[in-house]
Amino acid sequence: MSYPTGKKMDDVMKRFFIRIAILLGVPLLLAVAVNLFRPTSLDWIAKEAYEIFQDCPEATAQAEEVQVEFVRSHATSLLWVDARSEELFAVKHLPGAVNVVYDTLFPVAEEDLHNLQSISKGKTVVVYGEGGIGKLLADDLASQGMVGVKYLNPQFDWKTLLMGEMP
Amino acid sequence: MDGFRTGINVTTQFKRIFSCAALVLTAFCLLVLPVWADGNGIWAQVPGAERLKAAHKEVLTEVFAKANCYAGCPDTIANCLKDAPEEPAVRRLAGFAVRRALKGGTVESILQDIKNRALSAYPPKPVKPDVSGLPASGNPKAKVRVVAYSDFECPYCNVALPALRKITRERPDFAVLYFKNFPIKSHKSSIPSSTAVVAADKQGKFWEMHDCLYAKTELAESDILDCAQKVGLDLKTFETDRKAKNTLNRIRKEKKEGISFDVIGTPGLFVNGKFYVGPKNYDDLLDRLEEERDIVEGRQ
Amino acid sequence: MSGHEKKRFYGILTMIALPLRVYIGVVFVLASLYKIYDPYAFALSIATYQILPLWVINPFALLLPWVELLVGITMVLGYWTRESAALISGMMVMFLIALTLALTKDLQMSCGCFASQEAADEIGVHTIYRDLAWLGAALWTLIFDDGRFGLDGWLSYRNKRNHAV
Repeated sequence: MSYPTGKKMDDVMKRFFIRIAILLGVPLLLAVAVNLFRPTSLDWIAKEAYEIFQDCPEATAQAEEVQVEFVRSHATSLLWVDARSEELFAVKHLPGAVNVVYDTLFPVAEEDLHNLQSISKGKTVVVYGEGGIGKLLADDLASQGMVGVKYLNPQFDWKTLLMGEMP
Repeated sequence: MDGFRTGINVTTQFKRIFSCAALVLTAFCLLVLPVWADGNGIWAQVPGAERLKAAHKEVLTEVFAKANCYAGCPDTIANCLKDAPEEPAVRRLAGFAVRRALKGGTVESILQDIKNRALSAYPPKPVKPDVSGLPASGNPKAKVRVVAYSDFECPYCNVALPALRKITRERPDFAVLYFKNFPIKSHKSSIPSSTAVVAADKQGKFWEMHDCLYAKTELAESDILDCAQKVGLDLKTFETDRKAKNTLNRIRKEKKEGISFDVIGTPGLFVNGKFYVGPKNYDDLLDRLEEERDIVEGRQ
Repeated sequence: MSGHEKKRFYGILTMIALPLRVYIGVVFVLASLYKIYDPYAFALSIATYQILPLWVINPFALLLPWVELLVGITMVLGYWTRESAALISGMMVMFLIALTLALTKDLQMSCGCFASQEAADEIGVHTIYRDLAWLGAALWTLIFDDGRFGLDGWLSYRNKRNHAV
């Protein structure tokens, strides 16, 4: 339509390919020129293989650490998650806590995750447990897609919270 | 112009111009040549410098001026290359910086790489991984011991572990390698592969299985069984061993130990108990292991 | 359909092509700018796909962004519209093949194991749908846009007028 009428198809095709060649050739010249003059130029043929990998992280998302002051000020909107084993949980745990056992090898089961998500609606999940497993479980939960998961600073002994004052 | 028209003193003018030019040239040579030669002198000491382009040298000149050598010479890399070029630690660090520059490193990234390397060689607290009962690749009495917390599905492990295997197979008395399972939770094939390698270990074919699994591009159940067959395992025992409870317990124990050493990803490599932070390809790993040998032998 | 109706129908199709054409052009221009600014990062992204051999990666990383920029500009302007649309369709087909290959390789790109996270995030089924949509838009332009609402149209109009005079 925009092509002048009366021209042969061959000419139209020819013009088409010439224009394609120009649309590729001009960038080629630009690329060569710019690469020639920029200080951080790239070799046209790479000599070194690219380092495309990095360490595979165990947790793809990090949970946030909270201090005991946060726990005190948010007492009413907290959901405690106990990361320890069932046996330890049975002996002693924070009031109202839910037990989600941290496992070294396997992530939290889908079912448990859904359950936790439904009971924690509108609440802040704070994970605790001995020896840093609170953080490990919280990171797992965050990596599995839970938003806003926090863990209690492992330096702080959660059992002191049982001593009556809180929560 | 007068001189030309009257025809006098053309030669004098030429002489003047010529002598001026000569003077400038001499001054230029006196001032610039030493600097140039000095720069060249530095590069002559730097391993791999012949592959550098001008832009790389610009980056490295800044890096050498800013970063200190962490061993061998208590000064910047630039000064150390002048004062103590024969020091292996200095040359090694310079060569490391060259490799980083060739891989597209910037001044900031290379400075960070150097910090990481210093920390890898002289960490605040080395750890002691328990290697009892583990199959060794290389001579267990070698002075450099590498313990790798690794996962079979992790692509970087697929670079690092074969490289370490190559080193310890070619030079078994130089370095020894131990493998510890650290299956990453988000990977689907990691635990099946780990159980396979532990089950193969029970038939004494740990490293054969290890190599076969890393050579695979995919780790479906059929690929794992294919490896078991290739390696020459008794398939029935292999299957029961894989499902055995103590197999999973061993993997759990190995990973737990890694976590206790603050391994948060794979491959987590410890060279004589020192956590390694840095590029995990053959060249860089070999370089770090040789450095460690020099440290053990008191040469660095 | 009468001849008149037909003409009007094609007119509508051509009009639809106008926003599509400008959109694709802007997408390509914007996509090219960062790649031109940092060819190393782009080369790293290409390498992450693990499809091209090493010696092809850098020429690709250096040339492709400039093609994208130029073709993007000509698309927006409506200059050499058909040729630009053809090139863009070609590039989209190429990207789609690369994506499909990377996906079928079953690489776990989202696991955080790759140095170029942008490249890793690019690889997914959602990207295939997005690219298919862009390919569709480019093909639409190729077929229906005669550059009537662009420089092409303006230039041919001027030509005709000059000839008439």
